[in-house]
Amino acid sequence: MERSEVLQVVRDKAVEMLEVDAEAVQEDKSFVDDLDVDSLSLVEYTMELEDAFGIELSEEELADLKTIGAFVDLIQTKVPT
Amino acid sequence: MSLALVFPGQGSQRPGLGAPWRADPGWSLVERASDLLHRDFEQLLLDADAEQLRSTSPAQLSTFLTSLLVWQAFMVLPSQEVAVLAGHSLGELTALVAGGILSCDDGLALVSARGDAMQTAAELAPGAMAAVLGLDDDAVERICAGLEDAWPASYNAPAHVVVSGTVAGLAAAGSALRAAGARRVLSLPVGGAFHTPLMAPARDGLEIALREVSYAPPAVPVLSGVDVRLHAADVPGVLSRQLTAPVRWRQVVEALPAYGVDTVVEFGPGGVLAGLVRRTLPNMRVVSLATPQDVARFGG
Repeated sequence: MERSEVLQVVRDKAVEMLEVDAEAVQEDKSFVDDLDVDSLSLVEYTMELEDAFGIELSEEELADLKTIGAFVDLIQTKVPT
Repeated sequence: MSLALVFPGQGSQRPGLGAPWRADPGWSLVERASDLLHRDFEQLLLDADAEQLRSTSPAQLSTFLTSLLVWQAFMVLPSQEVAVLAGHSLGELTALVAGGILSCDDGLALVSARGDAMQTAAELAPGAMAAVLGLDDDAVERICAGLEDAWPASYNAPAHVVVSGTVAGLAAAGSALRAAGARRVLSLPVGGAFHTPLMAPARDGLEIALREVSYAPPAVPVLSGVDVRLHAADVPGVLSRQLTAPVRWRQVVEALPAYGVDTVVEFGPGGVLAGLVRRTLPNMRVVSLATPQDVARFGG
């Protein structure tokens, strides 16, 4: 899957579930620090993305992520090509 | 549109949560509350940091006041058809004020007494809470029933139950729940084992305050998260039971269509309830109001 396609899904689901504007979902931003998303909403959102992509993201992997760009990278490494 | 107005509980507060309302005429509510309780609520709503807002009493009072600021502004809009009110845990007291059962001053007195009583009970029996995602209610109940000190504390949405208990009980529950297939077990930043038998010591303190306030007939029906019925004669009894009973929020949400509700409006910061409603009723229209701009836009 193209990176831009992954980013598109990440952005669409964020708008749908996290009440953020599509333009605010930028690769250098953090969901928690910049978009003010609480941890519980973020966990539900990542579960929704796991379902959407048919992948699993471990809590350890997610704990290290700083930016939305890094999140997209992680998903892309898991999605079957 | 036929509306359900819903009010969040503790956990939605964040630093500066009152800032959007500083210049609103309704801000006098905050000044009045400060006078009544001899506490600086302007500081709490404008300048308190995350650490201060995590403590039980400040968390609850700041959430209550902010929800009421939004609700007051909403009530100035041309009249809306409101079918029913409800609130999550603490938010049930906010709903009782919005429904006319409690005066604003009495609501504030109860929230203050309730927060203090819960904080004291939590100091007697330290506890913790965690959100369990990806397991059915039945599975969570079964696992908690087999453990000493862990209980289901809030049915939030399908496959989303909060468990509450002693620190050891919750650690055991976490392992058992993961083994049973929970996709995530997420610690919640709260100061005690709320909505469990460990909160029983809080009843005395709350009941004193419950006896000192008046209860009016509802102007708008208020649905309780304790028994998923409309508040009627025994408001204090229900509020006392609420301390040790699980919050049946998901069941409250599932009951809304039967009251003719087609739109759910959340009052306060965070939008947590809006998310839970969407997860429970995907076809329900859901709006989250937190700022004067949100309210003006809703009034359209």
